[in-house]
Amino acid sequence: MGILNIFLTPDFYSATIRLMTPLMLAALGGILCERAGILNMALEGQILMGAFFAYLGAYLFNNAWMGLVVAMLGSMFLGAIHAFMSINVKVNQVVVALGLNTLAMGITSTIFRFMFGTDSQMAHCPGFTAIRIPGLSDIPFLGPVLFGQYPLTYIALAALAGIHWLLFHTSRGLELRAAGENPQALDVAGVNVIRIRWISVLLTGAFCGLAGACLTLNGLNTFYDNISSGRGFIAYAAIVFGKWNPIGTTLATLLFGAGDALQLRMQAMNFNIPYYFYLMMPYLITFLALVFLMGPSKGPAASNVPFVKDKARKRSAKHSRMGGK
Amino acid sequence: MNQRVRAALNSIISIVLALLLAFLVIGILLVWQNYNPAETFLALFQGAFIGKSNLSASIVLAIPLVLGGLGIALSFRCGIFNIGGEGQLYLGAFAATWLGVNLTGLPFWLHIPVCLLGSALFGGLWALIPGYLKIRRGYNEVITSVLLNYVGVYFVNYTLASFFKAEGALNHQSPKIQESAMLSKLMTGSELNTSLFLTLAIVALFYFIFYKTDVGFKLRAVGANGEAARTSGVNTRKYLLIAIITSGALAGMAGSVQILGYQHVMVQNFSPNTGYDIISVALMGNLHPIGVLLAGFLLGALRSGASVMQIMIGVPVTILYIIQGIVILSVLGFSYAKIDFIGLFIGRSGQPKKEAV
Amino acid sequence: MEPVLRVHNITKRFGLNVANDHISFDLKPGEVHALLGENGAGKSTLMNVIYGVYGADEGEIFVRGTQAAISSPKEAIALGIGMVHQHFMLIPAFTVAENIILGMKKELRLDMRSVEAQILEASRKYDLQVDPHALVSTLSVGQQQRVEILKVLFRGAKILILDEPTAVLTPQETEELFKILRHLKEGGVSVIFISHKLNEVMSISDRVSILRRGKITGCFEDLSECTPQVLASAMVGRQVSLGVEKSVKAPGACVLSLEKLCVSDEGKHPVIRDFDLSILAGEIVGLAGVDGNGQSELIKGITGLLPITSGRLTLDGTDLTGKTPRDFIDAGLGHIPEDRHKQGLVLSMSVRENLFLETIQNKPYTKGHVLQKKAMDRKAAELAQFYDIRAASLELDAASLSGGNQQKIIVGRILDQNPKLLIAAHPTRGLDIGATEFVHQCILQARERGCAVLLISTELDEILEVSDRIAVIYEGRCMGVLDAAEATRDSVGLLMAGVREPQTA
Repeated sequence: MGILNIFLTPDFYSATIRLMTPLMLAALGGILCERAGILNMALEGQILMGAFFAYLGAYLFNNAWMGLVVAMLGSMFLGAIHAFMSINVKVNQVVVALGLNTLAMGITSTIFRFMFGTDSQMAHCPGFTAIRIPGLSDIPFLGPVLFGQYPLTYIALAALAGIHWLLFHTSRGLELRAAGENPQALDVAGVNVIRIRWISVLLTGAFCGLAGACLTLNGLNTFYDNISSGRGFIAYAAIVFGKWNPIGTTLATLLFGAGDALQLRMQAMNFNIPYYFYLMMPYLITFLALVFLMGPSKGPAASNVPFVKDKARKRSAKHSRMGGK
Repeated sequence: MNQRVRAALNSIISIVLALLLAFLVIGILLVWQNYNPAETFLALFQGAFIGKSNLSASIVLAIPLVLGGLGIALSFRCGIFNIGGEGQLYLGAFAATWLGVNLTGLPFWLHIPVCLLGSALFGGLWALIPGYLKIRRGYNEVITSVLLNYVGVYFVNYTLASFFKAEGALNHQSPKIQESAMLSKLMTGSELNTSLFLTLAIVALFYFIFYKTDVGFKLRAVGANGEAARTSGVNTRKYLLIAIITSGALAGMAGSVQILGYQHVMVQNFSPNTGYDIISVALMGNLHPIGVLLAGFLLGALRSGASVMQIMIGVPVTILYIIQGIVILSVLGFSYAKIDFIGLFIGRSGQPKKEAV
Repeated sequence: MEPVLRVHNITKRFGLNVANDHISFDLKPGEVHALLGENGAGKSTLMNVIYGVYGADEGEIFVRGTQAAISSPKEAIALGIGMVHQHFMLIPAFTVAENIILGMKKELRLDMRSVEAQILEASRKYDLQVDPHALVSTLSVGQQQRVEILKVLFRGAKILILDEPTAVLTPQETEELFKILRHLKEGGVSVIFISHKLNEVMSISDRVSILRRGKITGCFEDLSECTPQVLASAMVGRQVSLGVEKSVKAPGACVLSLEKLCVSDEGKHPVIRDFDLSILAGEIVGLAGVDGNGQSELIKGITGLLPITSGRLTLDGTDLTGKTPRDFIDAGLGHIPEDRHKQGLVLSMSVRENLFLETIQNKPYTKGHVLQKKAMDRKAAELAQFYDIRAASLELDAASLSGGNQQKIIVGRILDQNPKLLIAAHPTRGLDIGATEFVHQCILQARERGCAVLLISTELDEILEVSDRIAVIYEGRCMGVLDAAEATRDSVGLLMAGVREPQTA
């Protein structure tokens, strides 16, 4: 018995949605720059930046919503370095991301210690509380699951709709996808590839900022070192699993969220399984799902392919303009 | 000027500039926090290099970084991004400790190699999983190897809390390894041990194989252009497997030398983040064996100096991650932007003509 | 009449290379102006400068009499310039309509239905039939070209640049294209037509300008007074014999035999179907075909790089079906790959090291796994001299050499092994005439030695000149094998288009 009971409680489903929210935000954001041809293995570092700066912002301004703004800025700062290195300097994007993840760890842990001392005495910041949508949240079972969540969950759902619309029903979305499929073709179609790629990387940063904020502002209201603990990589796995499609990716994060929730419920129910296996479970589930539930899949054709623009372009424009006078 | 000398000088200049940039950023942070940068950096420097005990502590910390960094450099050069060093390191250390505890009655000249090989085998096999998935089936190895890090580390922590826990110990830790499995110390009052020679020998061997044998030639060709290597008859899959297994094995040994060398018991989280630091070392060393040796020593020294700095000045050791991040990014930036510092200094005259026509 | 486009003194450098050297050129309204030149003469570079893909280092561009500052394709499009690149700039994963509308819409919302309707209308207007809803990846090369032209016209281009448009077409499809161009001309579109094929240029152009080594060396206003020989010598800069000297020689025993060979591509889709071919010692078999008809897969199948899904392959009597590339090389295969940067060279390794890619594990270059530097140096110097590889130092990266010298590295190291079978895939692609002649000489010398040669090329002229027999590939099948003496452009061209002549016997 026991284990099946878990699936009957609304708690399990509510926890699933709570746990999938950060993954969903990061993965949806990640889709944007992946689709634009920038491989983003730095989701991890960006989530970590988001988590810390959300905490810092909420603490300094004494307001959780200000925390979100600061979180997005913090992640976008890392995103800007990512964009500069991979778009302008054209460094291998995997390797850049490894450097960025290390940098994020350094920035967050160091500033945390500078501001709050080395013996982190858990300075709390204001956080979010669950919003119960009047009326709807009283529906039995579904109410608490769907309509009693933290605000960032609703933001994530809006992001899903928004990103899907942007990618598949707008001109900018078409251009963004073209940047990831064949940047040269986009260039000769008269669109600035470098600008599109920069914007998409920064947008990814903003969403990762929100994802990080979920970790610190949804009830925990503090920060500790390396709080992201691999969620960026799980989010990336969700993108691969969802085949770079927002809906598929969201379903993948749902699966990973459910695994995590199951693990937590099972811990609470005192099954005779060593504690470490519970800790291992989210990663193991992601790994096994990736390897066994689906084959390898290919992302956008021009992923990790830098766009090389002739350096003399600007010069020639200037030169002609001067000559024209 | 000789091409190779020029390239080597360029990479040395680039890492020096990268370090200067990193220290500039840290300096600004320190000023903001009302620390004296000069005083802080002096403490860092003294803790790293001045005095026998500080210097030897630096070397002790550098040893696993060099060993592991070498393996990561190999896998990166072959185009496989093995990020799974952390898991490979823990499993390797686990294997060595288990063999060190449970094999009794062996002479040291047999016991030590058995433990080292055990760690290499475990680390190598753990790396084989993402390696196989990448090479034969095309899975993204960054994701799979990172996920396996968590699985590996939690598994090892589990063993230390259960069947491999020392009886009566308060912490989750293994029993002490046999005397015959311990590497001998090189001097009293220091943890420096014979793994230093092992490491130097492996660096030399690695350099020789990579640059002076046909196996190394093919590894380099596979890494630089796998398709061309395959077209000219090289069994690329075989060489890629060699690369990933070797990188895992070296990461495993980076774990075991710490246990066999001076820790002697394995505690949970005995070497936190080293599996990621070896990636930094490989990148800071420009994926070249000599570069890895220097970068490993540098990072080991900074680690050792930083803990002195934290005690004396109160600046947290975590600034090292900022330094690592900035140095990695700058070194990468300089090398991809193909900045020729020598050319900037002595003018373009030293540059060889593109082609004599 | 005032020219619609005039470029003045355009200079474009890539590093130390001068691709365009003070070029001046103009285009009159409603004319087809051909730009003729060898591979590497700088034609594409000039067009990319006009279209804003490259910036010029010096010079000015005037469109309809006013100076234009073109720093990106966006500005070129706004000025009514459109370009169809040699390698199509289409996105295979997108539909025709998505490819055409890409970058055109300022407003955010994208209503594909109305876009598709507009495109259908335009396709009727210009008589260019396309299915707006089809994925580009499902289209034939000819259809893709139509999409490219429509894409350009849909943006309102009045100046149309076509970069080597016939390279991917059969002679019959080329005629179709010319019909379209004449139709556009009547509609007031001015065309710059880039080619290195004399006959085509003669048949479609009103004027011809010749580009050689980055400079305009002549402009022929009246083509009725021109002969292909005159154009050819202007293009190459000296008298050229349009043909290759070749000894008459009876071929020997069968070296390569393919029986009902089937090969699938990397995505496991069957591409080569029931391919039969045999090549004898001392003969050159040319494989003609439009690009993308399975040449790459055939080459990979008969070099061991792709598995043979069914059928049989024997090399010099040894059955090599299911063997590795190494086994093929050991059995006597020499392979000059189609893409020298991707398959032929390790660009970041030195010229010296690139000379040993196949042979590094052999004595005397390796003894007991240890590289023998002296033996390698000796051999490298010998190869560099014999095959005229010009490099300031053999220690330089292969990337720093010119295309011709890079190809000589490959040709040299392959022929030095004295292969029994030589697969030469597009061996002269992108080379200037000097290097091309050199490579042809090397291939002919191999033939003299009794080597069996398979020459794969999309240049029908090259095939006709060099081969003893000609096989034609179309959609992965062998359409037939002709004797070179009897083959004509038309007979081969029909086979390339998949049309089999009625059997006479």
